[in-house]
Amino acid sequence: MVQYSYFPGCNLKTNAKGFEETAIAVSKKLEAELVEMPSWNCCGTVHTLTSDNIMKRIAPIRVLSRSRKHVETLKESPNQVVTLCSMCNSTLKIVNNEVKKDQEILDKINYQLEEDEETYETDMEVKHFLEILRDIVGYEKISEEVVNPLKGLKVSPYYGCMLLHPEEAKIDDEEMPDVLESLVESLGADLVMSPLFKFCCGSYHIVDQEYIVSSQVEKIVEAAKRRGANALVVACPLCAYNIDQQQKAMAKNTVGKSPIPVFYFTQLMAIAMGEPVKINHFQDHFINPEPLLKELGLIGRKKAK
Amino acid sequence: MKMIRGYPEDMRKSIDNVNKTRSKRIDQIIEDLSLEERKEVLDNFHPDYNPKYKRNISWGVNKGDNVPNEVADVIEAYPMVNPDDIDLSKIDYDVNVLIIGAGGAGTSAALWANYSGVPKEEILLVTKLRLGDCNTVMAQGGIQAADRPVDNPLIHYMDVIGGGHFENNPNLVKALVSDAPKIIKWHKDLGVMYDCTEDGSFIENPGGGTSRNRMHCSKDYTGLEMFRTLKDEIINREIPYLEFSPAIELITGETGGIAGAILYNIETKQYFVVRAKTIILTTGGFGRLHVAGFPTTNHYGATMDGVVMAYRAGAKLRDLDATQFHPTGAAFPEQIVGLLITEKTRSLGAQVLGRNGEQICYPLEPRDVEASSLIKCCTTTDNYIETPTQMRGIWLDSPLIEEIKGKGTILKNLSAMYRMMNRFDIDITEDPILVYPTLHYQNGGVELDENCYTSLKGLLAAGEISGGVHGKNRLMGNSLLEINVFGRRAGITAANEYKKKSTVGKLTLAHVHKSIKALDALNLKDKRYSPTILPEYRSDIVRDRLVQLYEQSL
Amino acid sequence: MSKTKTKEENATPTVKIYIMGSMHEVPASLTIMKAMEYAGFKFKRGAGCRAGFCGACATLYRKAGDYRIYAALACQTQVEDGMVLTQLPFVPAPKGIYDVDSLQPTASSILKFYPEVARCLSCNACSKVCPQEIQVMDYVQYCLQGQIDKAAELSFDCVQCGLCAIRCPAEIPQYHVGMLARRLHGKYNMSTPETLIERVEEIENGVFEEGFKELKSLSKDDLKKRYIERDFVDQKKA
Repeated sequence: MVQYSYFPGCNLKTNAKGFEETAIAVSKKLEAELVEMPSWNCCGTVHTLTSDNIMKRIAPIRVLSRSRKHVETLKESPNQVVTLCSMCNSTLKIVNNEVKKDQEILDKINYQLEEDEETYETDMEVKHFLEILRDIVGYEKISEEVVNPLKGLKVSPYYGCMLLHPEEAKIDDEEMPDVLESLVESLGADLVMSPLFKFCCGSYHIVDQEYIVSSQVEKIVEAAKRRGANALVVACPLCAYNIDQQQKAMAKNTVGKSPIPVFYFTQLMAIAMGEPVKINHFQDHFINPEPLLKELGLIGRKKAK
Repeated sequence: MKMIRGYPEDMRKSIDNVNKTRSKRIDQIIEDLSLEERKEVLDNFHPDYNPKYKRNISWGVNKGDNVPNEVADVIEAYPMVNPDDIDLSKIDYDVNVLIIGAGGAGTSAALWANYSGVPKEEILLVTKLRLGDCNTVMAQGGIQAADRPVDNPLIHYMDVIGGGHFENNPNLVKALVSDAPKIIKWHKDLGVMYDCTEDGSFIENPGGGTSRNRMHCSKDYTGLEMFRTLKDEIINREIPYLEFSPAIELITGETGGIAGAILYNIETKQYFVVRAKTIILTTGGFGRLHVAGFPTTNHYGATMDGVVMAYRAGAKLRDLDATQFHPTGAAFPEQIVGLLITEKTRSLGAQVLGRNGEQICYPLEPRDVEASSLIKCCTTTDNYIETPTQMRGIWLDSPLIEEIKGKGTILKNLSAMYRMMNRFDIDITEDPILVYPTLHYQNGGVELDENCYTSLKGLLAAGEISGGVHGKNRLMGNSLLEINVFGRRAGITAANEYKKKSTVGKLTLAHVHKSIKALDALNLKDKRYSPTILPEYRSDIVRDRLVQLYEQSL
Repeated sequence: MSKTKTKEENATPTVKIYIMGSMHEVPASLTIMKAMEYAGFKFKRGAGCRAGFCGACATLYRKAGDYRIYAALACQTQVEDGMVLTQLPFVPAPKGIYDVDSLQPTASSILKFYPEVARCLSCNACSKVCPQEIQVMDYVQYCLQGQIDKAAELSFDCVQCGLCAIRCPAEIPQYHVGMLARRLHGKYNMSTPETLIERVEEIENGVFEEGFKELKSLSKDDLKKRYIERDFVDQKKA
């Protein structure tokens, strides 16, 4: 059993509880346990990383420093902090990279942090949980743990922007990624490829210019559905929220647009591995995936042990 | 003087004795005193029973009552304002309910008046310092309420009456104990965090003189947690309040009864006239008068102003002969002498010890008995510990708590105490605390009934200002209870009065003129003024300088 | 002990402190509050309980030759030679106006009244200044994460002095945020014991009225007898 220092980020604790609980459940099964850091703060993504503002890098460096201490308390833990959220992944990776290259910035930040007994020595790596699954656990091991293959689920992977850009933060090839694709296949689901796999979901425009998000999401969902998808899989809580919530909003206005549920990758894993349905927190979804899962016989039956 | 972990080297020898005897004391129980023995130790050692600290009131309704000199001093004092200087025809605030004093009793009165139908703009809450500068926030140990199946309000009633030497007003005690569970329920609904066990039931501790564990607490910040919640509600409900504006005199109505008050802004020195149909006095007690020369646990403004104002208006007082000295005030270090070391320390198991580390008395006697036993030990034996400034004290063996209840108990349950001593480099999980009795509470005060009516029409009272609830001695955990029970009742009574149609008529200060006349007849040697408002702690040199400047200005 | 002390031993050691710019020589053993009174100041603002509970006496100071700003409660801190002091009368910070009955113990309840919580930079200036040594930044972050229980526990010892709010670059009123978190936690996450609810019902139904009537009718001597004979259930007695 390897333990990883896990940094949840704010989203996973509030409106995306199902994404976190499923991830933790499957991580134990795969002997790559995610252990939450005892205390942590916002990754810093809400503040723009303008290059001359040291203050706004304090949050991510504090996360890295605290995670480094956390690693010392864990079993066989590599010097890695694992996150489930693509925003956190991106912010932490970018800043980690910066300070590894620029000792001067790091010294300035450490000087601010020294009274808190936080000093960062650039000896951490930031990993998205998908990277751990692909590079350490391996798809073979994942397949072995599947007790409930996702037959009949036609899943189209959607990456969004943050997982594949920019260079310092990406977790896969920006033109031909395959981490979600391979994961979907190893869970026994049918893979549906869509050309809009990284077409921006509209991101934070949901706050002030919802029409942008609405038009983006419409295109993303239509492209997937036209190719036969009955579900989407994502790896970013904001993408998940935008696509899920906007479909609900559109369904009200436009007749005949049947929405498709949006899954977090960890939720698909949890269902395939026979974890209890309730840890998915499907009640927090706008488009409830349960009817589809029931129809396909993926939930609601007695588990064969 | 060499200091070792917060204590001078000299005192360390005695601490070694405490540490050495601890294991054999864990199960050692000292017998508590019988009623006769209690009487003996009180008669001989309690400052209340020492005639040199007391004299009789020389004028007014309670003429002839024997009270502490400091109390007589403020009653036998002239009003600080000349009644002729106040223009009563100009009314600055015209409301229905005026609440004077914004501690625990005042805020709960304001909330319950509002809950019970008095609109917020008809309420005015006034206070000497800030909303929240009060003794309530300093109450640490807990609040009593008989809510467990092995307990009930009748048992609570017996504990209160016995603790008060059977001199309490039974109707008030009944109100106190039977409202107690309702108060806890109210607090729970507001979101007060009372300490709970894992299974969700309350943690309830014993207190001095209680026969059941019924002390509900929020670590040792019980009063703070309760008050900040009440204050949050006052602001949420937008009930108007004035800070730094103590009342200095009541106003009477032409038709008889109390009809308002004069406020004094202590910063701008302005006077304000408030007219109101119901006045609720919740000004608290007298710790800052330093009765019998004792240091005090009380907040800066605890100067008995309400009692003085009410007395001038003719209100009847009771039980002011009885003063509460808390058995365990800090005796070391010098910076915090007299500050409260909560009784919860003893209710969690700490014993009181002499210099050789042996117990000197049962640790959970009613407060007056416990305090007298400590004074006895320090004045008639050599079994005390002396500080570098020649103060005498007794050890309170806090580390014993961790022996009995497990490591971490102190940080979890006594974090305020731990923090206070730790600021002076003393770790109370490792070393005992040096204590000596300190002035804590005004047992008596304005007489009232169970609906908070005083002997004067239009005047209600609640909280420490009142007399009769606790008789001659209050038990731990009954003051936080009292302010809520009687604050609530006063608020409800005010709301009932609000619904009645009546007016107060023209305002007068006739009673102030009358008081001046009575005081003139006494031919007092020292001309004093009251209410005191704030105690004087500046050095004599400074005060002499000020007097000179004042005289020059004339 | 009987040895008489020399004049030098008897003299109280003093220190020099600066109160809002002017130098005063005061006994070294005093707290900041008592030292200011010794020097001739009479408090109106800036003093409340005088025992570390009310938060009225928040004080900022610097020490000679040290760039740091220190903070303390004046009633709980001993003077040091070279202290440069200033009292902080209360820091204004708007409190949210809410009805706690209509809220949920969630991050969104907090953000509704204190949206500035999302501006937290994790700089930790609040924790550094806290005279109660509370991990202020961590409880603000717990609020943002919706971990209201942890925020309530961590903020519990707050005396609401307001020093955190004045040091915060994001202008968060941390002590109000903690207050809301504790109320949400106390109301929604901590249950009300059944025994309490039952006892309130019993009292409202007059179950103890007869008992009170009887106790009130007893003579003082009978009452004393009853008092002496009462049983102690929870405590060990000799």
